[in-house]
Amino acid sequence: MTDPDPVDLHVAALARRLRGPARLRRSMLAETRAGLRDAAAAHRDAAAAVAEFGSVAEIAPAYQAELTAAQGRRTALLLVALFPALVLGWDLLWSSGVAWTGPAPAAVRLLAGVQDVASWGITALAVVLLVLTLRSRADERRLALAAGGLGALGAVLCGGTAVAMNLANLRQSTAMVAGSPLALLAIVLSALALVLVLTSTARALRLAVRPDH
Amino acid sequence: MRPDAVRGHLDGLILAVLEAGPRHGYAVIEGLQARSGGALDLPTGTVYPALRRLERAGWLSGTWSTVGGRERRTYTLTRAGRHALSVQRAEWGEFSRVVGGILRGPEEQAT
Repeated sequence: MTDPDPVDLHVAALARRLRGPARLRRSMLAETRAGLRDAAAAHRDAAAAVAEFGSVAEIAPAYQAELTAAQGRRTALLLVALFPALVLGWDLLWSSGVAWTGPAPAAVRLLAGVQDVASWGITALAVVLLVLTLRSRADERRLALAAGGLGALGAVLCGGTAVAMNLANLRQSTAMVAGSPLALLAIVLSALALVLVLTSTARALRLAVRPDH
Repeated sequence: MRPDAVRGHLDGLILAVLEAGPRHGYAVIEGLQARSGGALDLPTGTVYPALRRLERAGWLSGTWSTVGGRERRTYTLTRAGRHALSVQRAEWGEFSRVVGGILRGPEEQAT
């Protein structure tokens, strides 16, 4: 049996400390392993390469900061893409004739207005966050916290108003879904979009509040 | 040189090393060590996340490629990166001129 390679051990120890988007995490670890192998070849000594690299405790926070920033950016990007898509998709559906047949109660019209304003407001704020993630000196935990908070707010406001609107106008909603498979598909896709937002949001919030970096 | 003295300037140093052409992570580290005459005693592990941060800022573009039969991630300075480097150079020139002027001893100032 051969001794475990110091480079592999060090990269594995670093990997255990890092959380975040899987592909970026893999890519950063692969790059680090290749760099450590280059250093080991240059020094003809893997242990020296590892010593020069720095301890996991010393180095991991900078790696984690990048992963947290990437998750914040990813969540912001999702909000920028999904909220306008939801508003425009439903507008398209309404204008193509898939709609309630009678006049909606005043409460429902009010909720629809709230939903539109919330959707565009969330989108605008998410664009601001996206621009902030481009700055190399941005505080990544605050950005992840903001993106996560914004996503959660958007999901609650838009999902909540959608459910409330349909409950307040249940008879017409049921008739619309029964009369058009497209309406059912739109509801399923909207629910999926909200699940995506909530998943990404939860990931961003988890990284933002991690106590160990 | 103490690592904490360097840390605030690492971005500019990395951009300067990449000015001459694309390099992968360890070659950037070698470039930093060579250009400092070996005086830069920074944990090399700080360079890899810094490269990603600079890439996120749009100052570098990074791509995986096969170099010498091995997978390496190579970084190239972007136009925005060149601009950032020139800004950092100007700021450093100003800083070192001002601080150098104050720190210079009385004998040196007389000459």
